[in-house]
Amino acid sequence: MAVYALRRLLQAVPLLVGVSMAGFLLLRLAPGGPMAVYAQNPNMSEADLRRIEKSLGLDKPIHVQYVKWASGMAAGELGYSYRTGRPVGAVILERVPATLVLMGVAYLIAIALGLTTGIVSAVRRHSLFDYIATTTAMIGLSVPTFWFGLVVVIVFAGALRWIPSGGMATLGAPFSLWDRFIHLIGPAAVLGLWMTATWSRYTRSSVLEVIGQDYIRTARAKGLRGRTILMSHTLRNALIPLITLGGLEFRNLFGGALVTETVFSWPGVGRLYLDSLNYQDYSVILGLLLVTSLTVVAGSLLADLLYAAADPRIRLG
Amino acid sequence: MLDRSIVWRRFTRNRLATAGAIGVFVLVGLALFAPWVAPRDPLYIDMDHKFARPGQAGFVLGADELGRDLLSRLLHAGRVSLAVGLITALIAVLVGSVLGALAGFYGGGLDTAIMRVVDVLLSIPTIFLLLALSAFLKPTMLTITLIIGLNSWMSVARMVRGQVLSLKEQEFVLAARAAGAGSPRLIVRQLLPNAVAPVLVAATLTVATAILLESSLSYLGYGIQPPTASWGNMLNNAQSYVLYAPWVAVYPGAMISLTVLSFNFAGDGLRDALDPRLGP
Repeated sequence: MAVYALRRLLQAVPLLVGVSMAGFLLLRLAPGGPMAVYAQNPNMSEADLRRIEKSLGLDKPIHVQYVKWASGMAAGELGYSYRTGRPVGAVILERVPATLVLMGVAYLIAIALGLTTGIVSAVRRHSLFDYIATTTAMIGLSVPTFWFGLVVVIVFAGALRWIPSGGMATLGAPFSLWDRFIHLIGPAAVLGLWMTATWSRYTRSSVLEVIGQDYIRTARAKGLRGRTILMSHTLRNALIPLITLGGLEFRNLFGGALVTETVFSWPGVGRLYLDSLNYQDYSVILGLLLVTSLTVVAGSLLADLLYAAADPRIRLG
Repeated sequence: MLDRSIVWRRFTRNRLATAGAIGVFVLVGLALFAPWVAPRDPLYIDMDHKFARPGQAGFVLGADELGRDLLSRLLHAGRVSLAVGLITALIAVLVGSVLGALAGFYGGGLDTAIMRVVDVLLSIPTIFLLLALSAFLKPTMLTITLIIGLNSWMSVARMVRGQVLSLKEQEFVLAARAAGAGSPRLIVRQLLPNAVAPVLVAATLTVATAILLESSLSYLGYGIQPPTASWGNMLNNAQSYVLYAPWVAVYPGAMISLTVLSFNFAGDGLRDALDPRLGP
């Protein structure tokens, strides 16, 4: 296991190098490049700009610049926000809790609901429940998240007035758990139900795959009870591949969260990203791209390790 | 490859798939004939009728914040959204098939390089990357189509690579090689035709994801730019009046959902119909 873990960890290194190169090149595409913020300042002369360029090392060849920049990144030096001058790490960190709460609750909703409907769908294949569940899941994958969010706002915040239409807490009100909860319901439900669609589809096909295996037929032929076959033979094997989905979902989760945060004005990482784009705050944009990608890579790494722990064939194969 | 009549029979017997295919045809038809079907000029501003309710003053589906006819805008926006979706899928399938086939056929360093690029692109959250690219390159219809297309080919590449890997050891390929066929000829004449079925399915489903991506980008303000209407950017300002004039926000999203659902149902049905493991 330790050997497998180490090997898998080393595989993530070229990936991170690739991601950082992509981010670095992306920033060169930005209008004005990394010097844009200084070029906008009317008090700067051409000579000043050249001097800053030199002091930042921007006159060096591009690969030298990359190595210098990447080693800074690796040491956790994400630079300073063009807009506020604050360290990028701190700017991002203060938005992380909001996103973490949103994603966490959505994730729990998706797993709980997705696994249940997926399993029941597979066990009762071709039943009315299966038909409704698979169709609903397909609709869930086809409806744009932002529109689903807007409809939730129209119905539950507008017509019924059950939830607030956005934000994380009532402005000016003292902290209360209930207030936080009522603000969280809308965005978490939208993001969670959207993910539920994927989870229930994967669960259904994974369980169906296992139900078709010979050892399930053997268990049935031995005269085991249906419940025993389902719990200890089918689900144990069917749920392991879903660990992979758990890792893969991080990438979509960030995209879904960004959109959901916009609809519900949730002050998370996604909102920060959009605001930074509006203000051309390139260092924060790049920092967020790297941090979110790092999370995606870490997520799939974690999923692979969990998978190997759950299924010995992987680490020995 | 399966017999065409079997595929057709399987596909048409699947009610959801048929509904999806019909939906696609109707939507594409409406988009093609939008200028003739639309009752008004989609860009005509009529401030006297801003936020006209559906049915009011001859606005069948109502009017938006500038008094523009929603129905006409929906029809014209459909042209943009569908065109972007279809062309994007075409780019994704072309790039994905070529790179996937090269990686699978030649293996070695080329394979590693291509697959590393795939891994890297699959590690960066799509919307984040697309937003930055769109903001940096100025969002026009051309750049939006290109950047979505160039970020959607990865799964096609993986799939085609897998297909080519398993096909290239089969006897008909060896026979063609023994008969003197060179590598390019082998790829184009022997390998790719045998991967057509899954590529077709992937293409259909890619249209669906591409339309969703375009609409998200446009909703966030980094996609198709006004005054050109796309279903996504019609929702761009919806936030501010969603509680006051909900119909303005409801219709464009319903059109996106309907379109994406049609492509998804058709693609899923196509996959089942083309699956040789399932019975006739």
